Amino acid sequence: QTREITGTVTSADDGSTIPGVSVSVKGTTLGTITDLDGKYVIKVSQDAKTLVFSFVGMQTTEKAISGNVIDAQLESDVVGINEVVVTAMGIKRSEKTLGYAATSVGGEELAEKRTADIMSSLAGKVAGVQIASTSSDPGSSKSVIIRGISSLGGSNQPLYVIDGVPMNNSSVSSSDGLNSGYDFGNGASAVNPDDVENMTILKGAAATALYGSRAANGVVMITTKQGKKGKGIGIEYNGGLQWSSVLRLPQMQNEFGMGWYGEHTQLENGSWGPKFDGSTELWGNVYNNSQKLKPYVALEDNIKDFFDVGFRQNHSLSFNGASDNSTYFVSGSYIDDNGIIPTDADSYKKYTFSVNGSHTSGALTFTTALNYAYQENSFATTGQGLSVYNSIMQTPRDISIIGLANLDDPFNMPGYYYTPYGVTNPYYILENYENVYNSERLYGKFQLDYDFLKYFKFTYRFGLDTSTGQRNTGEPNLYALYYEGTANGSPLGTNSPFTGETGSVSEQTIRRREINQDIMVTFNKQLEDFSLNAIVGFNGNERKYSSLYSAITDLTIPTWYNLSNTSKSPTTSTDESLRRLMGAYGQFEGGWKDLLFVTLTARNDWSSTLPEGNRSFFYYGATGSFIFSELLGDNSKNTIDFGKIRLAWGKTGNDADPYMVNPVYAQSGAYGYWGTGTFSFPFNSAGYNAYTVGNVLGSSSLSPEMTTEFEVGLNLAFLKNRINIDAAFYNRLTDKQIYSLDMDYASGFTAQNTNLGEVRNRGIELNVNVTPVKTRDFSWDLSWRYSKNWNKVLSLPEGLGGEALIYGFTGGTGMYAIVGEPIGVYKAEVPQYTADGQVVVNAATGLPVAESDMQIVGSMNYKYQTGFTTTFRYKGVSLSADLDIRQGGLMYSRTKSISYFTGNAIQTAYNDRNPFIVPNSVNAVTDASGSVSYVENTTPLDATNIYNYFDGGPELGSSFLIDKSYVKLRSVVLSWSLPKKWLAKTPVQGIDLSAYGNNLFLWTPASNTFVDPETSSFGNDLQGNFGEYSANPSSRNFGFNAKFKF
Amino acid sequence: CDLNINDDPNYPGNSSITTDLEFPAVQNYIAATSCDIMFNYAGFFAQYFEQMPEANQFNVLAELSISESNQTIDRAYRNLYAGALQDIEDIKSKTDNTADLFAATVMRAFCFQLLVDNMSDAPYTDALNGNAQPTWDDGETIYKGVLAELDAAEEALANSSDQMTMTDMIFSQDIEQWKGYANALRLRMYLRMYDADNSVQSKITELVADNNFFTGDVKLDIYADESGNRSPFYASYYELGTGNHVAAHPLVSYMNETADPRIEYAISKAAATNSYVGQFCGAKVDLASWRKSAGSDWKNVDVSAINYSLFDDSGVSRPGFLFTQAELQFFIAEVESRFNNDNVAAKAAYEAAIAADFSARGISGADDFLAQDIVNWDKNTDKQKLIGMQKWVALFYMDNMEAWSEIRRTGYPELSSYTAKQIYDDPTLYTPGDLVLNYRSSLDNQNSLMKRMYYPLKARQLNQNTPDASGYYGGTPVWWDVN
Repeated sequence: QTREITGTVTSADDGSTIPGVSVSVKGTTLGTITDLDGKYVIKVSQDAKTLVFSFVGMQTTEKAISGNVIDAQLESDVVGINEVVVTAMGIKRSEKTLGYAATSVGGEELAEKRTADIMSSLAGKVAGVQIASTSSDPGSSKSVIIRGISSLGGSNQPLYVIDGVPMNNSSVSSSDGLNSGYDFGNGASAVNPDDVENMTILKGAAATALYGSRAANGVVMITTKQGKKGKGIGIEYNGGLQWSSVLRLPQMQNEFGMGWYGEHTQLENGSWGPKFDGSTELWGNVYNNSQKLKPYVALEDNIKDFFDVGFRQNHSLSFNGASDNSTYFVSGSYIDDNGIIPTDADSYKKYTFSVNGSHTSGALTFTTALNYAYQENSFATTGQGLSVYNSIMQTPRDISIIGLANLDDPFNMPGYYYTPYGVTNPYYILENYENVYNSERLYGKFQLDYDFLKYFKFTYRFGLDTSTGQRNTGEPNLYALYYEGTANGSPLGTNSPFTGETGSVSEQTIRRREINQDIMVTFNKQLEDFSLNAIVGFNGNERKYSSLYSAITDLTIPTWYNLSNTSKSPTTSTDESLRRLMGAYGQFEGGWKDLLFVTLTARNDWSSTLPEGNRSFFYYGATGSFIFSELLGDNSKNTIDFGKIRLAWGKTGNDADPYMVNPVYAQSGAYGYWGTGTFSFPFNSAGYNAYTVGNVLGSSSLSPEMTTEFEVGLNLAFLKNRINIDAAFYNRLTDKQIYSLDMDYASGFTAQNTNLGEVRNRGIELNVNVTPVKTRDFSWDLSWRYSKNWNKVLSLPEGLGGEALIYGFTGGTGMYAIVGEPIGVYKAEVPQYTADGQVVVNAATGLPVAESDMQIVGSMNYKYQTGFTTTFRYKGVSLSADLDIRQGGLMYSRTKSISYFTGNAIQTAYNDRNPFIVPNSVNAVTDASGSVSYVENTTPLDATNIYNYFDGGPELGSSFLIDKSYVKLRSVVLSWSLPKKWLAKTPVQGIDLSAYGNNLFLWTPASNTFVDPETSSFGNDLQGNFGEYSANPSSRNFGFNAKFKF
Repeated sequence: CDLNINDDPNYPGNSSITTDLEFPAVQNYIAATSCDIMFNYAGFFAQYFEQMPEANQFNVLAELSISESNQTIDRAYRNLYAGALQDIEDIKSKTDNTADLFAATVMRAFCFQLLVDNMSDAPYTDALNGNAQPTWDDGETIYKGVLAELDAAEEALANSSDQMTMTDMIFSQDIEQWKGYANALRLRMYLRMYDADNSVQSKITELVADNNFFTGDVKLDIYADESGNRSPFYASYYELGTGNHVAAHPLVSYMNETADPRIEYAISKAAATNSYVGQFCGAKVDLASWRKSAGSDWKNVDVSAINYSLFDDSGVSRPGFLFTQAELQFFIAEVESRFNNDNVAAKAAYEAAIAADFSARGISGADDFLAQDIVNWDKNTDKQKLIGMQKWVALFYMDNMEAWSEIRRTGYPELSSYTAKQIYDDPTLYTPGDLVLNYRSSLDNQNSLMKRMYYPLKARQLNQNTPDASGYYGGTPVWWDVN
């Protein structure tokens, strides 16, 4: 005679269900384990008295048998290592059984810092993950690089998976960082951080193999909140206000003002004039026979004064609840962020709306999640030419920038602006240039789970991610407005500075749609000491992209931004792509006691983007973990709470971008002198159209890119979990990279698509958590994380001569992949040095002489990244701070370059600008036989050459590569949860208040007086590491936040 | 689930592209190269252009300090190989129409003539087959190779009755004009070869005796004031957004001396003096200091700017000239007087050349101009020099690339034996029209003008067969430049 007992096992900490808990009848070998939702069914004999629930890291709990439903709540015995993490395909696992690194961060922790997106809140939280904001511009993209750069040609960003459904993370940013740079964020920005229950980062190939080819750079798994049973009515409001101010501006000199070569002028964009003397000077253009006067003194804060206090408000409201069979969660949020640049030219608005629900009926469970996001973004463009920051940086130290704000003053308009040299009034730009983006996005899933047989479950999941974005730009017709009859026609002779500046309007609509379907069967069984768990599944994925672009120039009405506003033909273009990927996968997991766990994974993909013969590719992985602390005697158990060794090996294949295989023809355009397609069909008035053989040679032998990773790790917990260590070593090889490789044009092509080169990333990751003090009411936690990655380019095709350019300026500083070096080494112009380190200068000018070839001067890679977090808790009050430290590496800084060019940088006041001899310099003397000797240099730099010295760089081109090390006080958060008893008689279930500051302080090496090294102008991937090109400055933020639960 | 979806929908595939959709692309690539890219730098090397005093964009051309790393020729190299020549290969694979193939071969010959005249060597026999590292051939092999290709294509044409079917932006499918253009190209190339190989003299005289040449100018007249459609060179100025070119001293002084009305075609008067003033090549920085010591200055207003819009504001839609009638007539005049000793025919061709150039520019007064002793055929004894000087004037702002090649071939205009500083201090030392060594020059041979372009940086970086350039600086002549 037996009877059936059912129940659910949850965690006492957070109420989440726990899968894999062993449930047995005390005194027998009869047992089972809980399924993925923490549920179990067990048949027991009538005389059974007690059930035992046990799970690694949890206190074993016994429950007397009474009734047919027995739920259990397990208390953790070792905090921190009992965590249930969501692994590939949404499968929940106890972290301690995993054979690979998976770091989980709870939603509460993410929401504390109140960042506008989910990625920046992770900054400095996870070892081995490098998260950087490309800028502080509201809504801009975030770069997430897991365990180093491995792909030369493709993306290095991880795959984002929301509730089991991959999300498109494409960023909308300028492809040319030099001119009119912009960044409207990446796909994952659409997620409302308040909707996130938990994020898990899967780092290694073994962890991600089930996701297949798209997960080669790791996976960020996002689990959104579901409705829960609980006290109260399930309403939660979370809102905050935030202020921001400029964090880092270049340090400027305050001794010299407008002029050039040491002489005063009235029209210059730099401070190479004489020393300030307080005299009254005429400056700028003549208008109506009048000219402006001002005292010749430094305006120390002229740049700082330009920037505003930014303001952001955010609100989110959610309702949730659950019955025995159903759950629901509904939320809406709103963010309105206006950055530190005056006007709303830098602003961001986001509205989100989400509905999640599930319903269980017998063996069937239906789950749906639907999320909608609308984002509206304006960006003050960066880079050279008429950008706001470029114009600010080229302002002499004696010119008041805020004095230019009045646009009714003709002297402040481009026609009579005080300088004609390539920049104009930043307020005019803010007022008249348009650069906006808005997007709508709908993503979510429908899922059906069917427990169709004992131990078996069938799952079908349909995921959809669809978005439409529209970008609009407008630039005024300056030629029509300001050429004829205005002063700036004259300083440059007959040539107007506004030639070709006839204005432009463009509109681009981008549509994306991704459909993802999974069919899975899972099997779950406990056999005495063995647990078995298997999955077999099939995945189908389709990604579709289309874009429609139209643009006009020569605006008839100079500042009206509409595509009809021209007498010239508009240009239009379309771009579309479609790709499909199918995969079949299987995973087997086995556990023996709580001691040994093994996982085997395999997947085969079929990709539409590869040649038919190479379309199918197979890869696999294996992991094992050994919880050796289970074998320890009771004595040592008092010191070592937990110990695990894990090993993982895995392989992931990656397919190509679409259309890299077959040859094409393209509408023809020929290069002009400047290397741009200046002569392009159609020739409208002559009536000709033509096509040309495509420049990129397709490859019918392209094969998938393969990443192989080995990982070994150790988890240890000591002294009742007061000390907790997680360490990992990994070695990742990425081979047969798919790349569009440049070719000698004489081959008939400019590039060929090919598999090339191997890149290795090796690294260590370390997380140490210590709790020095813990009493009933007070605790102090400290955590330290450290990671170091060694990157090396192992091979490149011979034709490249062992070198491939990643990004660089024509004939100048460039970032390369070079065999034997880390990826991203810089080559730049450097001065000649003698054997004993003296710099060789030109005897006539006194200026440094360049080495004939560019030299390697360093790499973009950090030597290491580390960080500390400290948290004090007293009852409901907690105070925590995050310190983020990155050491080593170089970046290019145009902000430095331009402030040397203008003579604004503090360094340019060297020696009070009196003639000086370059320190430790010599002249080269070549005798009749051609041998070179060196004599002491006696040629001082005169006023002209002092300018040349700084403009060209004291170390020539390499001067503008700066050390990108920094220490950042990433955040300080003070939070207070009101005591429950205060609220006992109200409907309010909880009130949390917090005050915080993000990016409060930045310390950089003394040599970097210029920029926040986190800023980038070249996107959020590999090229983004090149540096900044007059990127807008970063900001520090302060805010208050309040959360109410009802 | 269909995985056969990897044909790019954004571009047409092989089956939809016919030869008539490709030939205009070939012609556009070539015009962009010789009428824009080469037009600019050869304008400096032919001492037509100089760098505007208060700007710096072309200092490397004015001071001859370009090198492979400037990538100045890379764009031309790309247009010709990965553009024009690759499309010609595709045309050859798609048609057996001998008339179409002949026109394509003429364009191919011109591409290689340009490549050799610039770099002396180029990938030829091994090029354009997708081989990532083609070997390079010497200029003589290439010249002879394309001349033989021309002969073969013309013979195939003679043995068929094919008519041209490809869209043709130059001659509107007039095959006789293509034959005439081919003969003119042969004449140009054989004349270049003559100093290295006198045996081609019979070819030269035969071509002139047959007198089967094109009429009018070989030009692309398709340009308009639209984005991507602006006239070559004007487009590059427009893209830069500001002017940088002023007229060089040799050209301005010669045109002043000969009272040439064509000076107004593309040269403005200096604002400060309301007169035509040229600038010594590579000397703008030094001129400023020389003049400063005399209490004056050297600024934009002191020198004649190049007027990209032209005197009649037609610059934006000006045709791209690939072979002018004037150049052809000067060749004929040279052959008649140098090889045939036919003074009457030579004079007729000389005068026809100048008349053709006046007419191409829309400037009147050719007869009055020719009546002046200084340019009159009968009043000059050194006929070759006269032809050379007037050819140099006639090629200005029409075909700068050929002007640079002709200076190298003929030695006209001659090189002054005085430096810019000596002439600045004592202008009487100077013969108007003589070229003057670039005052600042980075050439290996400081007594030389620019003799060749460098190899493309892209070829250097990507093709290990690219010839060693360690012996070549711009002062090393190309293969046919042996005198």
